[in-house]
Amino acid sequence: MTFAPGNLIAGRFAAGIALALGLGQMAAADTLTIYSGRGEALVAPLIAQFEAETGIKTDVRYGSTSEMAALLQEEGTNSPADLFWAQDAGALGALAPVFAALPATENEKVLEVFRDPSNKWVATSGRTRVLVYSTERVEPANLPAKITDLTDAKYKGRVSWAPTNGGFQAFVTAFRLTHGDEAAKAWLEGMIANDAKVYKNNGTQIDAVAAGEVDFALVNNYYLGRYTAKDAEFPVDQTNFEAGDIGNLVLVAGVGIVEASDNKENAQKFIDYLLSPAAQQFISLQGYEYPVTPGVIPHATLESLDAVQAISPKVDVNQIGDLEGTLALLREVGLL
Amino acid sequence: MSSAALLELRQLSRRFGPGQAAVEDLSLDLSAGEILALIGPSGCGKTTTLRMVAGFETPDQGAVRLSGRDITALAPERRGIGMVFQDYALFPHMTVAQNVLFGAVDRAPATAARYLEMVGLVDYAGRYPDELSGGQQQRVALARTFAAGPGVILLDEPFSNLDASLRARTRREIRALLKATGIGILFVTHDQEEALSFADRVAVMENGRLLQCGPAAEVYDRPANAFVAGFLGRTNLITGDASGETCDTVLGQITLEHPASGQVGLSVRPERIAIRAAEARETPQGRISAVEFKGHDLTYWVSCQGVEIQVDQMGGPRLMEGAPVVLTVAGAVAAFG
Amino acid sequence: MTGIATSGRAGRRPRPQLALLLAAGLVGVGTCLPALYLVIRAFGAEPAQLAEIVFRARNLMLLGNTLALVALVLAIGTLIALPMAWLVTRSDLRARGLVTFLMALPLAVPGYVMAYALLGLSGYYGFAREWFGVSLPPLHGLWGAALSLSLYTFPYIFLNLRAAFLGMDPGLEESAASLGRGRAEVMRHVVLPQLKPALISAWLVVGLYVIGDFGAIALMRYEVFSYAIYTQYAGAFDRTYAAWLSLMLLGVAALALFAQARLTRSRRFARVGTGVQRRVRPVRLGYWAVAAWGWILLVSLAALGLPLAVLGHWMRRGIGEIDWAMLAQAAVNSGIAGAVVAVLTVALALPVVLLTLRWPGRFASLTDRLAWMGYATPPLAFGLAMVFFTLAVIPFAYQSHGVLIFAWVMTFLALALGPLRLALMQIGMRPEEAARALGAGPGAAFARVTAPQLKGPMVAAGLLVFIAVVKELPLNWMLAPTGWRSLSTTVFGRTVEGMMTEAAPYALAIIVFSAFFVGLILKYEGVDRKESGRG
Repeated sequence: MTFAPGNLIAGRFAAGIALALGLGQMAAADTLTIYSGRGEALVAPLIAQFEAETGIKTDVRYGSTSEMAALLQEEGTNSPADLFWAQDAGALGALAPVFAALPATENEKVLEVFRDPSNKWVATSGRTRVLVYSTERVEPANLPAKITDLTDAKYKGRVSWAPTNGGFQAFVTAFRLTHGDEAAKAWLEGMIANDAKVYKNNGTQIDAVAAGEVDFALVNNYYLGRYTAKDAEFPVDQTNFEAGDIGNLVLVAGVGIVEASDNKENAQKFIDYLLSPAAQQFISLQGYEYPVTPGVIPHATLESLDAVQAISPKVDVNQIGDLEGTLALLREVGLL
Repeated sequence: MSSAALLELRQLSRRFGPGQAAVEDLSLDLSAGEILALIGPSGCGKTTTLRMVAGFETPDQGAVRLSGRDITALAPERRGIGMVFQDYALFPHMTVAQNVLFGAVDRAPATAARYLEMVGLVDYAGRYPDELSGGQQQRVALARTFAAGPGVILLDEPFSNLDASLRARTRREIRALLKATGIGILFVTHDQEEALSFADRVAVMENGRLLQCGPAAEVYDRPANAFVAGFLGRTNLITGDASGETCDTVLGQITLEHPASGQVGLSVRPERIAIRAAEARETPQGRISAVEFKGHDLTYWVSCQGVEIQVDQMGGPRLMEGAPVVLTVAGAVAAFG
Repeated sequence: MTGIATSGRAGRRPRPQLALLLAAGLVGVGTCLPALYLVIRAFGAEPAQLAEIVFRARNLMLLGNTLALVALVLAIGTLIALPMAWLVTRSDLRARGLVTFLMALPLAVPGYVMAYALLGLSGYYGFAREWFGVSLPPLHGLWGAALSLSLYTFPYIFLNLRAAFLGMDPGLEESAASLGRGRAEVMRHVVLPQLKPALISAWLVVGLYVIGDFGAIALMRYEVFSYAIYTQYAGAFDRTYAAWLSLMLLGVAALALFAQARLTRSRRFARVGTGVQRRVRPVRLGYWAVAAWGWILLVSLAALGLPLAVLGHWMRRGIGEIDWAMLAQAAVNSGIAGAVVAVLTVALALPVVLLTLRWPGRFASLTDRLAWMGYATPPLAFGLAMVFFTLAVIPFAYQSHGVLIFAWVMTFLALALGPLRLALMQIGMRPEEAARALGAGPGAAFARVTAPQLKGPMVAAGLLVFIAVVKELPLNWMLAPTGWRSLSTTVFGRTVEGMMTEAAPYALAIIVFSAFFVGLILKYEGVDRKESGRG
């Protein structure tokens, strides 16, 4: 029996604290620190390849794009991050103040439709907004031509959306820029009046279509491929609206260099790597997304890039980053 | 006597919140080798007094002195006062021997054996408290306290957790043990029989105040007031008209210990009254209203001019209910205001 | 009676030791930081925008939804936990040890897994359809959220009630029965009032968790404060409105704490009387045992079977390659972090409990309340507050383990308070007084006499914290050193991209890992004097 367990325990605590504090500062200065809003399953193989090719060591911090964005906002000029790889342009736009300007020609490396005119970030992959529908309950003839058709009574209670999703919000911003705030508001209210069902994100919407909760869903294009790849019988398909319709909006995931970084050179090398044909090919194959650089073959389940460019509406991608008005509008109609 | 006192309590007061004080202006002395019982009904402040002596309560006023040293503000562990708790408070995670050695100055295993020997539990050294009977637990608690070598030991209701059958024997054994050590003992009880049989002196408390303190027999025979008389054993509380050495009562004329005059209160113990059947021409003092047969003795309830008087009788002829009787009080009786 | 002057030390007990005050101060500071940060952020808004934010009708809707969800989760949780606690402590049910383990085990299930499990029940790929061919109506909204939350939080209520049943003097029930009361009446008039403090403190643990949780709620699409807060950060990158919502949420939590204090005021929860506590004579169930087992089976299937089935289901759809080295590394990291946090949390919780029990008063109860506030603070707000203050005050410690551990300790401190408080109340002051009468100083008396008896409850409290840390996600994401991985970040790193099948093995690892420690909790919980002494 020990007669002074108190001291013993106290000693262990002290040692524990010392250990805990000491372990924190292991990241060396020349290590590239990446904040990733994209999932580890997609990112990790690319990182490993990058490290192998360049010999640059990296530390990756995984999280959801929103948490990472909030973190970067909070860190500001003290951020230890060198790079932020985000899931959507909304987050990238919101973080423009903490990003450094990229080399002037950087955005010219990617296809025009994916470019950021402010040159604060560069796209790493592209997606489009699409309409998915149930192959069991929807006749192809009954597919809407325009996204504004969905407020029609024949779609009442049959359509789902995800108002908190970055992709959806970017779409609403584009809607406002193209058709004006009044029209956007009218459409949102029409959808609400038409009993549009609210879901958390793209995946849950596709699940809902398959399960028969709804017949149509407004989502990004690259989710359905993951289902059909594993299940050829999956009773869901996707389609576009007519050419030029705002519902066919093109969106991006992208990466920016943090202004506070003291390792911008290596950060640039990482961006160069992400835009390399090998990396682009991997992203497209693994994630069912569009490559952003010319000459890379998209995943077989995707439409051709030419087709995408042909039907996509003409919107200034950078303006999509300006979310304030959209959020105010979404709050006003009661969706946020 | 106060110069020889081991423990002195001087005008202790303790109040919990507004209202009646738990203890008020209490002074007591305890000599080495003496056993003093603090007795009173529950809530009279006796346990608070004990805790002030032990150091678990700080008095609002007054002082506690041990061997002439003021220990009022001293932490419990520095007082050299041992305490045996009502529930014994043995440490459940330690063996009997570990318990005994807890406060011992000399922590050699032999020490534990020595003190356990004292309480007759030397074979139980390796057991845990929950493997012992109540009486054994109590003796371990005592041994543990002895081993710490205190000058004074406080006992809080020491026998209340024991079976009635065990109690008398344990009490005798422990009294012999305590007497042999020569340590001063202050103990708290609400059981008057325990106080009288165990203590050298008895201090009776009521509502936080000390009513009377003296040798057990003295307090028994000469209670300071009706409360003390009634609290210590069964008694007949009667009033009488005193003039000088004698006093007229329902029991007839009684001799007083000290001369008095006017209305006085008297406590006449049932065993002090002799009872016999009234003879044919005699005027009886009362009639037997009830008989309580207790084996080796009898208690009669006698109705005397509307007052019920208890009388104990050890032997002699047994009387029947309704019988007219004559009562006589043996010896002188002490009167109180 | 003003005439009686009391001396300087009138009625005063010795002051609490400096170490206790320091610990309490640390708790106070640590848990106040988030609130301070939120106030800074909240008042960063323009006055006009501010008024618009604060007085939005939507806030009322969020409040209503939050309260409804809390009420429903507590109701379902109690409905499960109360009969179970009674069955394992008072009835002659067989295999009570097994039932106890099964009822504590859902603690090991992460909230998002439980939500996925319920969602997985319905839907196109749901096993209800795949196995039985029926497409169930989807569990969404209030009921879905309430069910998924209650199915993995009810063990807190169960463990609290079980401890209360075990600590309750069976003599009370027997004497009530001997006074001619029927079993139901004894339950209502004697047992339930006795259980009230334990029940209310369990409700506090679960209720505050529900108020702050976001993982399950997001999947169930039920709009409560925490969901709205997350949406503001996530969709809107709007820290001002999020800060206001967080402050409102803290207001709700403060109200809950106030209510709890009112409800349990002046209630004592210690066995009075002395002597050895007897074992209760178990109530014979007879045919009711069938109903009992039915209920046990249903709850086990829902709380354990479903999550395991959904994980198995995902894995059947194809297991990606499992990186065993990475899994092991993540498990080791989670284990070490959880252990360090558990030890520190218990070390800090002990002074807080000692303070509230032995030096009750404003300071003590404030410290206690603040510990609970730390627990109720939305993790996202807590994380950002830590980022803010670390960068402002100790930038060198940014993204160090130290800050992450500190945040975890402050968040989970409240979990350790309950078990320690109950144990200390059951041990009481008497053994320490006896030790002091035997010459031990206050510190030594505590260390040698009370602490050894506290060992079991301390380990149990530490394990509760440990499991919470292993499952925790948002703080982990925001504060962990870059590149450091834990089990939970590894799981979520996969679900983010919708790669459920890849995530399943790691989620299973969390459950198995935590399940082991749940078993240990049961071993150490409660003041089992014999065992804690000789263990």
